[in-house]
Order: sequence, then C-alpha cells, then structure tokens
Amino acid sequence: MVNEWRAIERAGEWAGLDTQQRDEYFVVVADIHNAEISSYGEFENYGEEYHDFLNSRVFSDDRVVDLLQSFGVDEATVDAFATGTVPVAETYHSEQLLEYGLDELVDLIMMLRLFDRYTTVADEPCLESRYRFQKLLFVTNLELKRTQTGSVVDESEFGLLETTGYRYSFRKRSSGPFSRSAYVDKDRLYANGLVEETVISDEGTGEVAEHEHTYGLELTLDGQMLLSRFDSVLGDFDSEILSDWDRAQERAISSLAGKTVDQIRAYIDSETDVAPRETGERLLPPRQATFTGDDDSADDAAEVSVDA
Amino acid sequence: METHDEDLVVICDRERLFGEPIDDLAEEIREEIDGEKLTLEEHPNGTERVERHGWLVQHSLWLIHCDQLFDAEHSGQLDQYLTTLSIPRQTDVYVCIEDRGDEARQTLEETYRDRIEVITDKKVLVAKASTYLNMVNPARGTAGKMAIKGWNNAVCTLLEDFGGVNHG
Repeated sequence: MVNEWRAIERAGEWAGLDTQQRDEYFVVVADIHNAEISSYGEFENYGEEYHDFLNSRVFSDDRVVDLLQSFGVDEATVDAFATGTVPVAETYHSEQLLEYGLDELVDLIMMLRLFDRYTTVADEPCLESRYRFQKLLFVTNLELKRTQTGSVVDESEFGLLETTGYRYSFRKRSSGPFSRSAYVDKDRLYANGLVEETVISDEGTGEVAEHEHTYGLELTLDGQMLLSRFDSVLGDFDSEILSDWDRAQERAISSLAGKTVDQIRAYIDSETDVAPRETGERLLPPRQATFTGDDDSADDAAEVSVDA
Repeated sequence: METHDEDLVVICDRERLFGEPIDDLAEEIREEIDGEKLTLEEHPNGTERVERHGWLVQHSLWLIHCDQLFDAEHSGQLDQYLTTLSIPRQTDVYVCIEDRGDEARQTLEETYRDRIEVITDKKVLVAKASTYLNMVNPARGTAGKMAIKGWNNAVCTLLEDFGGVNHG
C-alpha cells in the first residue's frame, strides 16, 4: 500500500466529518500520532501493524474521542474510536474505479485477478515484469481465439462485450505483442492504488518503458480487498463469458509462469506467426466491438495465426 | 539507507503564507520531525522551474499557493501535473488557500480530487507534512525505508516514462 499516512484522514472521512471538522480532527490526531510513533519506534510494515497502532495508541486517545463527541458524531462511530476498532483497512475506498464503464471494469477486475492468480500459481511475490504482464494478456486472448467458436453476447449481463476476453488489441513492437491501452489501464490501477510497481532489477526487459529497469507488479492491500469483493462472482463463474475468460487466463499463466523473457518470446514465436510480422502491425483485435483507443481501432489487418 | 533527505518545493510567488514567512513554516515542520535520520530541505524557487518536470518530480512535498492554479497564466503546467500520472502518487501536494473560503476549496477538490490536500490553516499544514515525514522516515525501520524506496521507484519510473528530460 502507498500513502499510508492518509489512513488518519480516511478514518476521519469514515467518521462522517465535514471538511472543517476533518482539519481540526487532523491537527489533534497528528499531534498524538507524532508523539506515539516516536515512542513506538520501528514498523515492519504499514499494513495491519500500523492499523493496530492507530487503533490502540492514537484513535482511542481521549482527546480524539472527546473531539468526535463534540462534533456530534454518532455513538457507534465514537465507540469504534474509543475501543480501538476503527476498520482502518476498509476505509480505503476505490470509488474512482466505479467511474468506468462496465466493460472497462470487467477488464480491470480480470487484470487484478491476473496479478493475484499469477503470484499464486508461479509462487512469486510479484508478477516479475511489464514484459510478462503484456505477454500474459496477449496469450490470454490468444487462448480465447483458439477455443471460442462463437459469440455469447446477447443473453449475457455483460451486453457491452461482443465476446469474451480483454478489449485490448496488440501490435507488434520490438519486444513482441504490446497493447498501449493495456499499459494505460495498468496505470489506472496504479493511480487508484490497487496495483504497486517496484523496481526489481536494474536491467531492463526491452519492453516499452522497461528498458533500464525491470518492474515487479503486485496487488496492494486495496487491490486485494477490491478483488475479494468480487470473489463470490469470480469463484462461481456462472457467467459463461467470465468462465471462458478465466480458464484462458489460467492457461496463459500456466504457460508463462517460470519462463524467462527469452523463453516467453520463443513460446510466442512457436505458437503464433508473430515473428515474421512487420513492426507496428496489428496482431490480435480487441475482444470488444466498439473500442475507442487510437491504436486499437478496428482495421482490416489479418489476425495473428495460431497455427504457425 | 540510514538517513534520508526530503525536499519541499515551494510553488508560490509570495514570501509569506498564513501570515508567516515560508522559511518559518518550513522550520515549524522540521521541528515536528522525529529523530535525526531525516532532514527536510526547502526549495523556494519552484515557480521559476515549474516547467522542469524532471527536477520537480524529485521533490516529495509540494507547497503551492492556490493563485498558481487559479491564475491562467501559471496554471497550465501545474494543472497537467495534477491531472495526469506525471507525479508519483506518494508525493504530497499541499495547496494553500489561506482565507479564500469554501468555494475555492470546493473548486480545487472537484478539479484535483485526492491528488491534492487543500490547506486552510498553518496548523493543518504542519500536521499533514509532519505526519508524512514521520512515516516516510528511516526511523520507522523497514516500513519507513520501504516507503522511501517506493517513492524513489515511482520517480525512476516517471523519469523513464518521460524520457528523463529536463532534470536540471
């Protein structure tokens, strides 16, 4: 998680304070926080340990409780502060994500699931590069192209999707299949605090924006929490669209987990005719009929062949 | 990483904020920093260098007077920074509105959402900045060092994405 220092403010929002009250609350809480954190010393992490610290040593302080009472905050909320049971992690909302359309949300949720499932299947702490991330998305759509026989649209609750799979189309770059829109969506998840990127190597992979360093990608606590809200849906997969998509993604993960960058390139070359294609040529169209990205607009270019 | 230097860039044409010299405000923030493993350096020349993304992005705390965002002559570049992914999420951006009132606050919060912190009072500024500096701090052990590393990595990513231009 990043911006952990915002937890104090988020707790104030959770308590229903207005902007002026929040300012007053923050000054009081920061004073207690700074004194207590000095005596506490070191933290292993700013997740659960820090939230416990806030509850036990900051939020439950009489000065905070008295202030909330003076604001007329409801009894149950004041009690949560007084007893040190403020659900700090749950105050990390991801409401900005809800601004996106349903079709976009499905992509983003499946992308979150990709991060989660990859780290589980590969037994890695993170998805080890932007290169691997792009190729996992490509191979997922490739798997769907291999297996799908027709459209499953109209009866679906996801009517915006003509068929299943990521909406990204991929063009050939020197690094292989790449989608700019997928890159932008990954940045959206990062901007919303759902995915974290950290430098894991000072050598690049050759991927776009990964020439000098390699980045590890993983879900933040916010991302894990958001994904967990969809567990019941994703776990059952009574939607045929999501079920096909998820199975294809699982196969893509299994195919690429543990492979090096060179092995992934060789895998894609062995499974497709990407290698002889021209740089800039479109390899796979998006899985949605009405896509708006500049590089993803529909054209007449031949799809990549999976029989090469 | 036993010590760390944080940088506060001031993007403001005024010499005083909330009736106090900006130097004094920075000093008040410093006084609230726990321990001696973290120092705060103030860079008062942000307004002159606002076009230099590569330089600006390497400052983890931004102190902006709201005139810089309300004034069309100045706001273009800053507006771009605050509405795109061109600065790390970990960077704290304080926009001081002094006594401009609720309308100014509402306008800024609607425009820049949680990318900025609207500051109406000196005490709030010191509280927010000191909370940040007491967490992104080697004195907090592993968690503090990881927070610093996370910010450094985010800067590296941005410089790489933006081609590393205009560092000076």
